[in-house]
Parts: sequence; structure tokens; C-alpha cells
Amino acid sequence: MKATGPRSLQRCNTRRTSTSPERYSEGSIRPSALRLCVHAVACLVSLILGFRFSREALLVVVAFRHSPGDSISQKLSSNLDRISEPEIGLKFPYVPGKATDDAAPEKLPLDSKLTVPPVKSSRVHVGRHEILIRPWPRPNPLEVAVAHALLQRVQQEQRRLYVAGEWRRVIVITPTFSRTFQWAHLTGLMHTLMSVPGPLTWIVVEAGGVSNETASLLARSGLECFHLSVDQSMPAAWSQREPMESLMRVTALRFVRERKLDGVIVFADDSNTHSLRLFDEVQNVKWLGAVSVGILGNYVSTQDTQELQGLSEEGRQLVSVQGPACNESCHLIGWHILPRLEQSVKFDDVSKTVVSTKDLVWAGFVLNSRILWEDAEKPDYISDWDEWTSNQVVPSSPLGLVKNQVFVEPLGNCGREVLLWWLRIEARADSKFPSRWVIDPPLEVVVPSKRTPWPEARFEQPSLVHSAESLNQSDKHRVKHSGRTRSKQGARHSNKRRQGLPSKVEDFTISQGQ
Amino acid sequence: MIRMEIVECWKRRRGMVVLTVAGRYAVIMLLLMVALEVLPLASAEEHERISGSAGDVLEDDPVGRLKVFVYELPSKYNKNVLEKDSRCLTHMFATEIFMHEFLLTSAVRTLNPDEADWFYTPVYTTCDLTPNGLPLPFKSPQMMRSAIQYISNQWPYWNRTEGADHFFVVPHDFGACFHYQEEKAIGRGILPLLQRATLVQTFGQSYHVCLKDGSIVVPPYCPPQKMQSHLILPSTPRSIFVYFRGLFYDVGNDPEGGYYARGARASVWENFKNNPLFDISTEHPVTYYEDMQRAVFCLCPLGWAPWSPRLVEGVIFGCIPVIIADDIVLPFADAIPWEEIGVFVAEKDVPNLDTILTSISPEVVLKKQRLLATPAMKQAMLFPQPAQPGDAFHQILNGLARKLPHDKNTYLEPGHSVLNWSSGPPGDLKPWKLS
Repeated sequence: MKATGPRSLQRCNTRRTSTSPERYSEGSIRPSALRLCVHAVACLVSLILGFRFSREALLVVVAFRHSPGDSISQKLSSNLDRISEPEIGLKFPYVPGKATDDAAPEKLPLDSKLTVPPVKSSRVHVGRHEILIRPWPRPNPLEVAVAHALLQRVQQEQRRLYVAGEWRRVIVITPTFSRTFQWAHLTGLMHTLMSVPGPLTWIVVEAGGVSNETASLLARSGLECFHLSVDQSMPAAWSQREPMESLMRVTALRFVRERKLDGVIVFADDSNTHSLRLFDEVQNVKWLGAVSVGILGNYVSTQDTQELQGLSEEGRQLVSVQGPACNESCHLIGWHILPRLEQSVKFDDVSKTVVSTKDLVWAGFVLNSRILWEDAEKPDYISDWDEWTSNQVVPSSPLGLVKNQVFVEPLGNCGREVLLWWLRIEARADSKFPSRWVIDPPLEVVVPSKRTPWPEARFEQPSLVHSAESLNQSDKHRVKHSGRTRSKQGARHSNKRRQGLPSKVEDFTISQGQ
Repeated sequence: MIRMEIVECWKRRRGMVVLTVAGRYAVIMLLLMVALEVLPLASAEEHERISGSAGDVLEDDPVGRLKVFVYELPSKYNKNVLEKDSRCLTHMFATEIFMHEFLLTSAVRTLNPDEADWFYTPVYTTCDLTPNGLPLPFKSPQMMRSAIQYISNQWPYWNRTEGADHFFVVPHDFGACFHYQEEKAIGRGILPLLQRATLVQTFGQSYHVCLKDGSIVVPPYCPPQKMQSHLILPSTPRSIFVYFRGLFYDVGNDPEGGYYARGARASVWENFKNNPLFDISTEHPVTYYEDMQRAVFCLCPLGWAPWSPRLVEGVIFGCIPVIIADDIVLPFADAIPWEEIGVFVAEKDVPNLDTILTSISPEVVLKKQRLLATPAMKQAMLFPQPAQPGDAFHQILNGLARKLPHDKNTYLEPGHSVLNWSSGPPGDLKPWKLS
């Protein structure tokens, strides 16, 4: 309880001074020692108990002295009435003397001549109550979980009642091809898409024909999928991969056009990470929108050290984001593109496009699927499909669909929010990995790890294996390398250390398992 | 000869019973009716109809069901009081002033007192404010007695029934007991002259001296425009589980705790101050109304009196009220089934509040939210100016109409008198004048 000790002591003193005149008027010359003693004891008790006890003590004293208790208490209460009535600050001087915990309010005061009918008994009474505190006032984790589930249900109902009508179907286009990182990327993407709170269609375009592994992954997702394929396989050279991916995306767009699928088209590459806010934000697109994409694992080809550290000539930190650039009144005035070319580009004249469309990634654009349809009503600034795909070069970004870049709609608070990231990390073209990431047959060499939880087991220090700091790897499936040995974690550490240098991806040779 | 065409529904043909065209239509209609009954009703309902113990009466129209005569009192009882302090128009006791304004222009008002069912006395007893804005009740009994003396002298209708067909609006803390301190209020009891009259008050607690049988409990006044100007999109997700802003300990008047709110608010604080599900504090945030719209449960514990404007705010903002006040009688209890809308927690169960609230199933929570979303419910808690159909003014009139016709005890024999004009504490018997 609060520090009531000194206050109660104070009150003891004030009570003494205020009531002493009455005492004197009663005829006693000075307070007797016995009364002083009882009063002191009462003060001590109130110090210990923590609440004002002096009023009760007064009653006890009055009874002890065989004085007409009624007249004194009445005089006291009338005194208090006089004090309280013209009070401006509206204090409540409590008179616990009349109504203690035991007294019920039905007992009318002595001077009442009111004609109220007798009240029925009630368990509710006026007076001091105990403040009930349970012995372990901590939240129960099970109850917290139940409460969160309830909040989820309430929010789902809110969404159904107030938002449901507006959610447009999202059509996700993903070009993919069989490679080491494919399974990891696609699993992550699949789980992201499964979390989207609305209807979704996933179009996966695969290079080199439809593969069973990809098909099995798609079947596990439970989403509505279309698995398309392009006959050519993905070329090994890095520079040729981008046009091939563009070709795959255009194939998917042709599919959307032929089937007349309705919704919002999002280009989700398998190497991208998306936030769920992206899918809420793309609901607002009218025809062609642009979002900001974070570029991670930036690959710079020049040897200039300043650029390697991601700094411009002036030494300011560059942000690896590609997306629309807006002015204060939230109008599109240019683009932020990858720092290897230029930091940002503004267009001075709305008709001239300074930025070549080759520099922008597909993932940063969002389309309304009707933009592709033959016979939908489109505004004038939308170019025709045949025009756009007619020339021999495959379009490298959907910017060509609008005749003038000023009609691109910036999304995500005018490009200020980065809603997805492109993780530029890939394995070498000849790296091998187990099919569907199931290790069968077992590895050829089994090497016990250096540290084992069973201290009595003997272990030999293998000569060929470089023991890395990988404590979390199980002892059976230890990776064995020949020559330069580096575990996955080691490679990542070295990547971090050598930031900005050409990030050649390490060789992940695992023993054959196909 | 009368010929009646009996349309045959079926006839025998080749030994089989075959339905005629009329018979086929009948069967189809029957099947359709059965199908419509059996088909589940669309679950995309945003709100549900509310019907209390008196039936589905929230949307009743009182016009034509009763007639009210408004006494013309000298302006010292109403207008001059208001002129002295215009804060009376915005505090939570402003009901008495707005009720008067509403009745003056209402269709239930009659200028002929002989055909009136109910009589209204416009006396503003809760308008004597301290500099802080709190009403002082010390002169209210005298003011009320003076008003009743005036109407009993000027018109014969008071003496005819000794107030049994009169109603008074007494929105103060403990109603017609006219005191802010509960012990003093209980000690005083209801003003003796109002023994037979119908009281329209905000205070309601069963088995309490200050709640008379037959009183109409109304919500406290909350300014409707202020609340409506803070509405946010209903699609804003409700992410706060329990919300409360207010005092837990009244340090100025009850430093040790245990008197204020019968210890219930202190118990809420001590048990749940560290609980992440409970967003409770004593702050006065600017976004108080917006926060309530982002909460699922809003605590409405008692304070010095069991009622509070939080109930009205919870209903308007769709936050389920958790009422912690033993024996409380909520507004319009016969028209609104409060058990289905709010959650009632006994004061002794406050330490288990988190268990109680998390054990409510989601279906029940959603049903309560649907009931709260009903426009009739929100309208019944408000006192808008000008009055709108279904608002609290109309609910008061509906309540008065449900008490009609008056029973035979209402009218007294001429010369017979029940009330004792000289009863009450001596301070009440002094004559009153506006200071």
C-alpha cells in the first residue's frame, strides 16, 4: 500500500488538535493518560495496518469513557458537515465511523425520520473493501494464445464484412528453372503465396520443359497453379539468362491474354522475398503500377573501390533500391535504378524517356490483367499487345505497355516503402544438388564431427576434412570437400567479410546423390 | 342453387393418383415455403435485431401513445440557472436540459393538461457547478421542493395524484437522493416529495435506496457530434484485447484505497498491470475514441457511482462493455437485453478477469459485436440535437408509454394526502432562491 505512515501520524496529530477543544468543552481539564495511551496505540496500529484508524479509535475511546457517544459523534458529524458544505474543491471527507465493514446500509441513522420503505437485503454495501489480488498475477500463456486466436477471428470477420468486396484476384507469374537454389527459393515463395489472404493464381513458367520436381512442389501448395513451360533450357551464361527470363514471362502473359484471366499481375521471381503488404498494396493498381524493389547482393563489375563499397563519388551511401521516384506532391518524376549505372534519373521532358527499359527489373511492376486483353476498354496511353511484342527483341520490362512513362502509378506510399527484395545469389551453373533434396542413396563417406555429445566415443581427427564452426550439423551428414573446404556457413561469413567484392558464389559440391 | 367449383387437386386415373395442374402448383408452393424456412439465413449479416424483455420495442414510435404536459415554471428554475453557467450543456448531466428542449417541440406535447397522461416539471437541479465543473447537490432538494410547491399551488394536477403521474429528470450521481457521497445519499434517501413520482435517472442499482421501483434508467449524456467526429474505418482491425483509461486509485479522496470503486478498479490494476492483453492506464490520450474502436473489450468498472459514460462510448464504438459493478441496473433494461450484449463480471471475480474473458467463445464475441453494430442500439444511447427517431429521448417516452394506463392507486380521493411536506432533514425545508 502507499506510504500512509507519516500521513496517518499527521492525521493523528490533527485529529488531536481539532477535537481537543471539544474535549475541553466537555469539562475535562486535560486529556487523561489512559486516553493518550489508547490513542497512541491506535496510531501505531494504523501505522502497521496502513490505514487510518484514528476515527475508529475515537469511537472506542468514547465508549470507554461512558460518555454519551451519540451526542459527541453527532456533534462531530455536524462539524464535518459545516466543513464540507461550502467546500469549493469538493473533497470527500470520509466518515468511516458510521458505516464500517460490518454495518449494513439498511440501518438508518438515528435521526432519520424518512419514510422510505425498508430495503431488501443486498450483498453490496458501502465501506472499505479489500483489494483482491490473486497470488500469481501473471498472464497465463495459454490464455494469451487463446486471446490472440480470438483477435484473429474478429479481424477475419471484419475483413469479411468491410473489406471483402474489394479484394481482386492476384495473378503471380514466376519464371523458374532447375538449379541448386530453385527448391529453396520456390519453397519460400510457395509459403508466402499460401499466406496471402485472398484468391490467388500462380503461373509458373519453367525453362527446359515441365519437370516433375517442380510439379510435385506445386501440387503440395494447394494453390491454383498453371505450370507452363518453354522448350529451350536456360543458358548457362549469366548475361543470356535475363532475356530468357523475359521470354518466359511474356509466355505467361500470353497465357493470361488467351485465357482472359482477371486480376492483378505480380511478377514474383523465385529469388525474391515478398512482404504480405505488397499484396494489399497492389489492389490499388489501375493499369500499370511500379513498386520499389530492394536489390540485395549487389553485383558491381567495376574495380573502383568507392563504388565497391556502394558509395558515390561524393562519398554518400547509395541505397540499392529500384523503383519510382516521386516529388513532394506524390507525382512520378523519375526512377531509382541500380547504382552501377546511375544513382537516379529524372526526366525533364515528359515525352522523352531517359531511362532505357533494360535497366528495370520486371519484379518492380504490377499490371492490371485487362491491359493484355484484346477487347477490354483501355485508355489511350496503353499500347497494344501486338505492338509491344511484335519486334524481334523480347521486351525487357513492361514499361513498353504504356506509351508515356508519366502514366505509371507509383505504389507503396509513392515508392517510399520497399515491399519486396531481390536476393541476387545463385550457385554456379555446374553445381550439383540431390533431386528434390532427398539424400538417397546415403553419402559415401561418413565422418564423425569433432564435438560429439557422448564424451566416451572415440573420434579421430580426419586429415582431409576442414573442421568449421558448424556445431549444428549432425555428425552423419557432414559435408566433405576436397581441396578448399568451406561449409555453407563459412561461405556466407566470407561473403560478408568481403562486401562489395565480386561475390562469386562458392562451390557446393556434395557427393553424388541423384 | 349455389354451385361451388371445387378445384380438384388430384384424381384417379388408371388406378394411380395423379396431381392436376392446380395440385402441382400447390405442391411447388409448399416445397418452396419449406425450403425457405429450412435454408440457413445469410450469415453475411452485419447486425442483428435487438429485443429485450419488453419485446422488440427499441424502434417504437411514442407519438400517439402518450401525451405529456410541460409545466411553465418561472425561468429561475431553468433558464436563469443555465445562463449562470453554460457548462451545464456539455457535462454528463445535461440530460435534464436537453429533455426539456426536446419536449417543448415534440409531437407528444399537449397544451391541454386535462388530456395529458404525464406531467413534466422542467427544473435543472444539477446545474450548480464548482469552478472545476462538478455539480453541488446541496441546494438541489430545496430547489426541487420549491418547484413542486409552485406547481401544486398553480395547478391542481399535483394534488390530484400527489405526483403519481408526474415525471422528473434527476441525472445526478445517486438520482433523487441528491448527494455525491453514497453513505450520505443512502442516509438521505429519495426526496420524500418524489415518493410517488416517476424518476428518470442515470443511477441504477438493485436493492438500493436511491433506485425506486418504476424508475426509468437512462444513459449519461455524451456529446454525439464529438463522438461521431472521431469515427474511423470499420475495416481497421481490432487489435487491442482489453482497453481502459481512467483512475484506479482516487488519491485525493481515498488515499488508502478500498473505498473508491469498492476496491474493484484497484484490483484490476494490481492484477493486470503487467498483462500484455490489457491496455490499461490513467493517461488521457488524444486518441481515446480511436483506441476504443480498435479494441474488442472495454472495461466499464464502477467508480464512486456504478454508472459511467464508458458504457455509451463502448456501444457507439462497437467495443464490448465489460461491466464490473454488482447489482447495477443498466439503461432501458426492459428494452435492451444487456446480458446478450455486454459481459458482466462480479467484483469478487475481478482477479480472474483474464480467464473469464478468454473463455468466451469467438462465436459469442461475434454475436455481441453484431448486436452492438445495430443502428437502433447505438441510437438508443444518444441524445442528439435535434432529436432523431429511436434515440434516448424516444426511449424515455416509450418507457413512460409502457407504464400506461395508470393504475387505480394513482388518483387520490380529494382531500386525501399521502406525502408529508415537512419530512426530511431540516436543511431541505428552507426556502430556495437562486443565488
